[in-house]
Amino acid sequence: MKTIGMLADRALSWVVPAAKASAASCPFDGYYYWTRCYYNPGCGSGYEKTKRTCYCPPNGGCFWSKYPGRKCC
Amino acid sequence: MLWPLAGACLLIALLVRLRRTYSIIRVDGDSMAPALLDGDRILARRVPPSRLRRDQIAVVADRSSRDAGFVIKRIAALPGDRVPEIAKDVIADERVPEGRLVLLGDNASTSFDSRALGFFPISDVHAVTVRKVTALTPEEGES
Repeated sequence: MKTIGMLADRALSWVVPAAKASAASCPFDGYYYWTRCYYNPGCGSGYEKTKRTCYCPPNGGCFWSKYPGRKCC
Repeated sequence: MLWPLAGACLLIALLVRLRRTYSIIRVDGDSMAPALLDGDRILARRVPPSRLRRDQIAVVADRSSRDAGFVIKRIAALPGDRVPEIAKDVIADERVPEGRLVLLGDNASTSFDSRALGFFPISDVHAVTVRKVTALTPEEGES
């Protein structure tokens, strides 16, 4: 059964067009964005925003660092 | 004499339909782990926006990069749905407006999705995934 499935998949690969889709991690080391403004009574304006930065360590695998920075809006 | 011709025409029509409706997508990256891993190949089917459902994995045109490829993410909210709390970093709206989607990666710690990019246009959805396709050789996984 498994062999039939693999053969069917191979046939499908010949017939159906192929493409690539990025299951994108954060894009590159150092990339960052600021969130929208959230309620924070500690700020004079009543709102603050936080910075999300992409870290890509040398051993591979990028990830978002959630709270590397925050400031009042 | 006519039967082989009719058979060939039918086969060609079937192939054209298959090629228009389905595509095989190679996953590049880990933001959909554990559902989809880097190098996985999946069969994706084109569907009209009206047939999109929450929790489907969608292949979407990538407007954030210059190489005009695709990204693959899970549909977290459809037009009219509440915007998920996790996606409210950059989205102020309470509900998803018409013609827009919220897309999230399963692997939240690495995914680059609606949490950073906001809404995706529903018209950018290319296809939804049907199932994984087995890679027969390591080379096929790389192509």
